[in-house]
Amino acid sequence: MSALRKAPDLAEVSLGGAVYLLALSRLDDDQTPTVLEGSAQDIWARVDGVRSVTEIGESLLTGNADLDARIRTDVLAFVEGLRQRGFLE
Amino acid sequence: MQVGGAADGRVDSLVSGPVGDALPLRAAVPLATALVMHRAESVGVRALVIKGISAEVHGLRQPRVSADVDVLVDPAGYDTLLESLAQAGWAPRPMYAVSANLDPHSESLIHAQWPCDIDLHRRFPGFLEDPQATFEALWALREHVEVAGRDVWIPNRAGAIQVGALHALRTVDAGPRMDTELDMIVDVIAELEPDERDALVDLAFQTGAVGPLVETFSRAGVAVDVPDSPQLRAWNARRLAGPVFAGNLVSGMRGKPWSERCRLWRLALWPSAAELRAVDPGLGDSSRALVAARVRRWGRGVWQLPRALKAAWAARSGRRS
Repeated sequence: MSALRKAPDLAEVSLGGAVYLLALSRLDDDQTPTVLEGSAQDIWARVDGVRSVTEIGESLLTGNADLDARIRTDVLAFVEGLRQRGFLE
Repeated sequence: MQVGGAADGRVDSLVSGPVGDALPLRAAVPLATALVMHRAESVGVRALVIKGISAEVHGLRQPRVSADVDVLVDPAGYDTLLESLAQAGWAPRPMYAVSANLDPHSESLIHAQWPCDIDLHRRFPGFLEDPQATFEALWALREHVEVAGRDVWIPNRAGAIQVGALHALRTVDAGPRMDTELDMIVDVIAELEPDERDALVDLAFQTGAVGPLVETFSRAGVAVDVPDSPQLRAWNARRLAGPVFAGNLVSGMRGKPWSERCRLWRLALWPSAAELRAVDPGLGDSSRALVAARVRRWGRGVWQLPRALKAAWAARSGRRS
């Protein structure tokens, strides 16, 4: 799996445990920022240009098989959502 | 640790929607700064972020949350950037036709889903030289700073000092916060090295700020000789008139032919119903509300006009404060 990278045309502000993102290259379509809080912000913080989506998912596992299966699914869906919004390359 | 999904709904819900009303100013202002500078770059228009982050980076004011983003735009590209921002949903805040006819130095752009304005300046009051020449002088000395993870351009310290001081001096009673900021700027100027002072004064001559700032420079121990000029008298008239519309009107009429003055008075005295409703959307549809709005407006004008006229007269006779 390839490393997850933040999009180059991204504006990002961290404030009080939340991250506010704006995809600058998509302003004609999406003009308002998106906020990531809690677990969403935790995942975003792991996007470092080195780790893959699988590795990020693995770093969040709890040891509970049922929960971990859902975490893997959720992380994949979340990352895909970030990509569709132009926050990831 | 639990991640999103049906358990707490966080990941899916948070990534699927815009932040909307929950967008705090402390996040909105840096994001809007990045937004406007990215749009400027993408359409090839030069722009400098002024006041706000620029003043703070140069130690000219205490950090505080700004309510808007101020950008000085290359006059030659102003309309291009305005159009580009319109495509991104940022529209000029409605203003009276008379204000638009008084050659406004800036436009406030608003977006329904953002809590801050973007103030786009085609020129900055107090820079008395040609706006294009002024911009070129400031641009030549620009620096960059990171905002919201993006590199943006700001004036260098000398440029930021002038912008900050002119902003604080724009009216004689700008308020205690502006007085404090001007005092801080005077202290900064007083502590400049001799070559930095020379560069500051040199830039002030290039931008035409040297006249408006002569007393500020003097307070900081920098003596400059400045000849009187019609532009300087107009600047003094405006600042003596105070932060009132009548002051804008009276100073804006200086040098205009009588036919134009009459037209401006008519626009000022009788704005259209559409204008009144655009500026104050809460007015509603009733005729009575419109009449009341006109009466209130005349009342404000009557209240403000003596001071505006007195200021214009004082400025004509050379008074500065």
